Amino acid sequence: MIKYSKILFIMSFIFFSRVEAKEEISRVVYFNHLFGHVHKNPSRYSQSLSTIECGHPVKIVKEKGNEILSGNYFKVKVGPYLGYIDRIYLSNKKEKCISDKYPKFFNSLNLSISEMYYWGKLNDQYVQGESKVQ
Amino acid sequence: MNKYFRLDIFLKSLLFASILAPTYAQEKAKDDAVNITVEPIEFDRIKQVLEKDRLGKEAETKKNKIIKEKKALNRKKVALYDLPSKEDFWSFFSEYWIVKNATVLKWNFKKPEYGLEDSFKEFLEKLGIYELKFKILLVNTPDVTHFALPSNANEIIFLVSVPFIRTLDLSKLEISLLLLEDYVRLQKGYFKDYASVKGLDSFLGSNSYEKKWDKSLLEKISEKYDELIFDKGFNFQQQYSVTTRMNKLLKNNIKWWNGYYLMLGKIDNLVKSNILYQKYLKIYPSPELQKNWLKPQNKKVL
Repeated sequence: MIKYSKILFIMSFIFFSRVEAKEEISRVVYFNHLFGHVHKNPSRYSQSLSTIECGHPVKIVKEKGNEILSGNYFKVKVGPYLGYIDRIYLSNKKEKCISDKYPKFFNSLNLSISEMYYWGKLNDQYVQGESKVQ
Repeated sequence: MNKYFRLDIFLKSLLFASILAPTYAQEKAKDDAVNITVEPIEFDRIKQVLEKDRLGKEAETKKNKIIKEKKALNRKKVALYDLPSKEDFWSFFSEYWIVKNATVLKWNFKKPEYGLEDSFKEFLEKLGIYELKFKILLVNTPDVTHFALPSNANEIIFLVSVPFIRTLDLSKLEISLLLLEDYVRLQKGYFKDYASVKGLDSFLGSNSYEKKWDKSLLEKISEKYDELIFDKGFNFQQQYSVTTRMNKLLKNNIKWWNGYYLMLGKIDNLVKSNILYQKYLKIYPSPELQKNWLKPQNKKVL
């Protein structure tokens, strides 16, 4: 009897610890560059799960009450995809990209899907920085 | 007989009545008209009543509101057709060109970590170039060795060739010096001047509502980018101007000045010995001359 109750205790412990580690949505932010990618892993060279456009809502995932940040990459949920996006590409407010400022002009460029993909990759590939007043 | 006589009288009276009837109707109409003029509608009084009730004012404000809303809606509709301003155009177009030339430039590859983000930032700050956003794109081709592309104010996009860096075994300082030279070249406006085709000035910041903009304009600018980056490059006069500016910027720091001088020597040797980089002289004439321009001039004492 004691043996069974021990097993039951261990099983319930495993079950509840799994429930506690469940991922939830922390907040919604917005993608702030023209195009970008939701990566499978927290790396700019990681496989792209989806290409997203400027202003796309991105849900930041939290676990045990804390947002998941691996290096500079937030764990995010975008549509059905669970992946990673570099924090520098996310803003609390929707930003106006060139596609929002000049919509008819931008649409007339007729960018293909592969060009949108490359534009997103371009943002991943840049080495970026800014000199500041010391 | 008597019967016919009665019919005759009936017909005659009918004729008489038909003659009299219109004149009676006319008289009646005249009387009615007289009656109307007797009691005229006093519009002024009605207006005064309306004014007292402020109905007229309300109608006016409603009318103005509708006009304002229509105007705002129209402005929004027209704003959709805005064309990029001078401030927004160049960074966007340079990226557009990079995306269109992805297969030629071969920039979508796993790159070595040179730590340029920190080293170039520090270099700029030591030089006194502040609040400059930079984007460095490492490319995997010897065809474009190093270049700065036209960008928006306080922004700059660089292309740097990884095979070029590897072949010359450039240090972080040397890469920074190379980027600085490109920055100086861009600041002098040679690229923008070359790529600014006819019609661009009137295109930038205009609006294409109910008219068409010339889409060939972007193709023409793209061709200018191709020409300058892959074939034409810069002339001797421009190179002289860039080199003398570099001399002024670096001469206060002997380490940097020496580094620049030695780097030009490395490039000079490379372009003379490696067939892959022979085109370099066409784009940036010429490292050998640049070295001579940097040398302090010996003035003859008479």
